[in-house]
Amino acid sequence: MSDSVIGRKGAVRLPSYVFLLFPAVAFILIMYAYPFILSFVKSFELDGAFSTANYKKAVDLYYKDITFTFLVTLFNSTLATLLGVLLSVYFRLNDSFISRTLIKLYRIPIFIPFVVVAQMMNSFLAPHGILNLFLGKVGLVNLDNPLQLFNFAGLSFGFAWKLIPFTVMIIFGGFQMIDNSYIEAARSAGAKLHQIIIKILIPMNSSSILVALVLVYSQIVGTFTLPYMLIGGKIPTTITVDIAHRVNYYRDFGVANALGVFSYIMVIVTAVYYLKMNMRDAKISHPQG
Amino acid sequence: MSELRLKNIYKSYGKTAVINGLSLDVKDGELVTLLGPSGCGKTTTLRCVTGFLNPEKGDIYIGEKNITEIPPEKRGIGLVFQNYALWPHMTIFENLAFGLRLRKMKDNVIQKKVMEGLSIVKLEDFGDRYPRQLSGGQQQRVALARAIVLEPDILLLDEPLSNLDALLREQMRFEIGQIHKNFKITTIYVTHDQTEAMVISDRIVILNKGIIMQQGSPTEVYSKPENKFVAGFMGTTNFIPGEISETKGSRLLMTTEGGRKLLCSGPEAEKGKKCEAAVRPENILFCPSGETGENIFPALVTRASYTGDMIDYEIEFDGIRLRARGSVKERAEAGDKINIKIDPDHTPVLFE
Amino acid sequence: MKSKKYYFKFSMDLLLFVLSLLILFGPMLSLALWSVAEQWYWPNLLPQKVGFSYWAQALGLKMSFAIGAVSIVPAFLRSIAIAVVTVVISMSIAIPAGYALAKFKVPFASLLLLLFLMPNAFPQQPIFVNLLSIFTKWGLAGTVTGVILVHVLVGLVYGIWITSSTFKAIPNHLIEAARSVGADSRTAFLKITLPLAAPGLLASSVFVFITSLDEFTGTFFIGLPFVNTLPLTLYSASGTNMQFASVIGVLLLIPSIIFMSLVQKLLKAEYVGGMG
Ligand SMILES: Nc1ncnc2c1ncn2[C@@H]1O[C@H](COP(=O)(O)OP(=O)(O)OP(=O)(O)O)[C@@H](O)[C@H]1O
Ligand SMILES: [Mg+2]
Repeated sequence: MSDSVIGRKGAVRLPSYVFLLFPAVAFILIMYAYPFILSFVKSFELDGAFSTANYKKAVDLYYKDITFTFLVTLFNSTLATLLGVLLSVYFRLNDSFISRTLIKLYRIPIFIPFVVVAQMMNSFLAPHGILNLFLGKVGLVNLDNPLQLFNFAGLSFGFAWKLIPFTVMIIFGGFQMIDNSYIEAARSAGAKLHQIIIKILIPMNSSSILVALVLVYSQIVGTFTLPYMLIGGKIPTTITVDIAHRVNYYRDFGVANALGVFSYIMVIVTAVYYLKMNMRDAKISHPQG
Repeated sequence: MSELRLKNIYKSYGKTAVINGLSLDVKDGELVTLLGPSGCGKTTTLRCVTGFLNPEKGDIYIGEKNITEIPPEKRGIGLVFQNYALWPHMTIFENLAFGLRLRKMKDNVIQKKVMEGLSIVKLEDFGDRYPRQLSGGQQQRVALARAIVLEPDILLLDEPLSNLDALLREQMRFEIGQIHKNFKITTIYVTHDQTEAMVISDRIVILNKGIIMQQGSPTEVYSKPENKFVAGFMGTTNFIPGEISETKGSRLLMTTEGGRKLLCSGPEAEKGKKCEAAVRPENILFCPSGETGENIFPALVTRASYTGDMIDYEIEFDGIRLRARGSVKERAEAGDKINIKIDPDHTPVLFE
Repeated sequence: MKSKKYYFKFSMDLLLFVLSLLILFGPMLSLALWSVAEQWYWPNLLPQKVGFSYWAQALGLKMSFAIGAVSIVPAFLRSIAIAVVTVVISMSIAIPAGYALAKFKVPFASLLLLLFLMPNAFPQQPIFVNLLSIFTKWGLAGTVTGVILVHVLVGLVYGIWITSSTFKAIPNHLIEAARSVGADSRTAFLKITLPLAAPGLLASSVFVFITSLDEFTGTFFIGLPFVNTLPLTLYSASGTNMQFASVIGVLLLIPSIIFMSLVQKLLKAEYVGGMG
């Protein structure tokens, strides 16, 4: 494989990987990097001149939604990670028919697209949907006054349904790499179940837990379908719905981009935090490298 | 008193029985080795003692206390694993301190005990390192120290040296022996390396298919094997088949299939009984040609391989191939006709 | 010997099991029931009338304006066609790139991989918004071409990540062995590397195909109102016609479930290995 830059005749020759990579890089630069940069540029532009008016307007109009989005993201990524850890611990420590069956069933939602999830939730969580019906029949809910779930609660249920399986997949994968002997060594040293979980299992698997948290976090920030189909334009809703609204009804790319930059910032802040944690981790030893 | 007793243990996985009525007493301060081929149930036995497996039948006692139903974390047993199992997110110091902290000891006591533990394995300066910054041998020593700082009643080691290279293994087995001498912890040591077992043990228990084949001091099991399995497992052994023709006190005279009279040692047995003589290579002596007498037979050298400190021979005796060894000084070559003498004192007779 | 503790643990296990089943399958059951419910009055536990008239309608087998559903066949065919073209374009870009990243010492390779990961690590919606304004200038907004380009963008990331780890998994000595018996680099690639990589490349193509089939947000911005795909049809039905939307939902589920059984192992390795 020729990595040589200078050809035989002395003319400058590009290594062949340049040609192999060129289409992909060019495509990403034009189709991704360009609009990515554009979203910053346009957010500071009003009638062709530099301005911060878009941000002011975005905050004035949508500060409730920005807060809402942040809360939804924070709550759901924490919930999905926490439950992902708990379920994974359960699956790791229990080898029974129940746990083996569940671990297979938990894979299903990972592969169901968000549109379909949204439609499921639409019918399932509706005031006259199956959930209310079921809860009514077992006597937990008054059927004349069913739960209203097209809000924070229903949105969170939808995210949990789709994303907990995802966090379980990543976190359980990490737990599976921990040999039994580490657990047995702790137990024979006198550790009880909760001490094993807190002092051995979770710290040994911290990197996959963090990966799960960050991936889920950025997925939630960027998800448009679920909030759009469950909450729509009601207040409060998520930034993603507002962006669609700004573009579709007002063709207002300035404010839409300002809102987009907010969603970037939400992700960048956690990404930086994650990198910092990772660097701290890198100083500590790690079994999986 | 921390004597360990296993009484009639049965354990099976699904339908296959792995441990079949195993009983074993380990005296206070004794180091007993479980020796046997891969898959014979050594680890399974150990895990029944630790409590990570529950035997279907049988009881386990530490001293007078029946521990069969007690969970692992309350048994007071120290464990050393083949893969060390040092927690990678803790320093060496924290690895040693883990169990002590669970016992709610004061910080200064922990500090002192950990440092003592590290000095036992000569790793005083390594407390701040993480496991992956240590060599395999050092990690194994930390694993040992981690088990003994908790002052366990019983120490169990499952093939602790099998991940180390030959040289380190020899050195470590010596160190483990030293530590055992100093602390006299009742210990079960699992290995499938018979030399390791010979060097380190007070007593060797030879296991096959979940059954104890023989137990005794290293010398006993080596020189007085009670059955073919033990004879074959403890180093190279030649088997010469035949039948008993006479009992002479503590000696037995057998007639080999080739029709020769061979004098061996063994208990009284009835005439005509089928048997085999177990002859170790080092008990086949080459004698000057012309010499005759008891247990001296003609043989042919078929192969002579120089191994450095001795010569490994293959010889043919009445159509049976035997392994023998000789000193480098007087070497025979392949094709030489020789006379061999079989030492009757060290040649036991085994029955099926 | 089975103690109280044992029964306590067993009942906790059972509780978790039942709760998981209810939560996992409740929404799926709801979707399935609605797709065959011709009459379902509150608060009856089950539909009064069950039938397949919405299915027949959606699949273009029957025309009835009464139930307000239209044939989804054109949207379905359009979705499939777009997905096929997306796979072809994505893979012909991704295979060379994945190969280069796996088998050459590319300077700043990890930076490049990060660049290829960006579209999936960051919110995509602002990108689509700006692509809309760019595409409007280029005359691509509201065209099938524009939609395909967006789908390629979304699928390419998976394409590159999976192909590059597929190629990485092929040991160099196999290729070197072919070279040593006289194959030139092109022959070695075609006869050794490519056949060995085929399963991974196939899995990656299936992944891109499903991604395109399920894509919603990008199509919503770039395609509407002129290019209608299956997910968008589902969206427009969801507010007005529960049964019809549920039928499309079930239809979209089927390829995803088939896909799941095909490549779940590979997928897991991808995520954990690639991003950990
Ligand atoms: N979890 C298990 N399920 C089924 N069979 C098992 C299990 N663990 C061990 N066995 C079987 O039990 C037998 C004894 O296993 P054990 O691990 O005790 O052997 P061992 O003597 O420690 O061997 P080695 O020297 O290879 O470590 C083997 O035949 C093994 O296949
Ligand atoms: Mg073993």
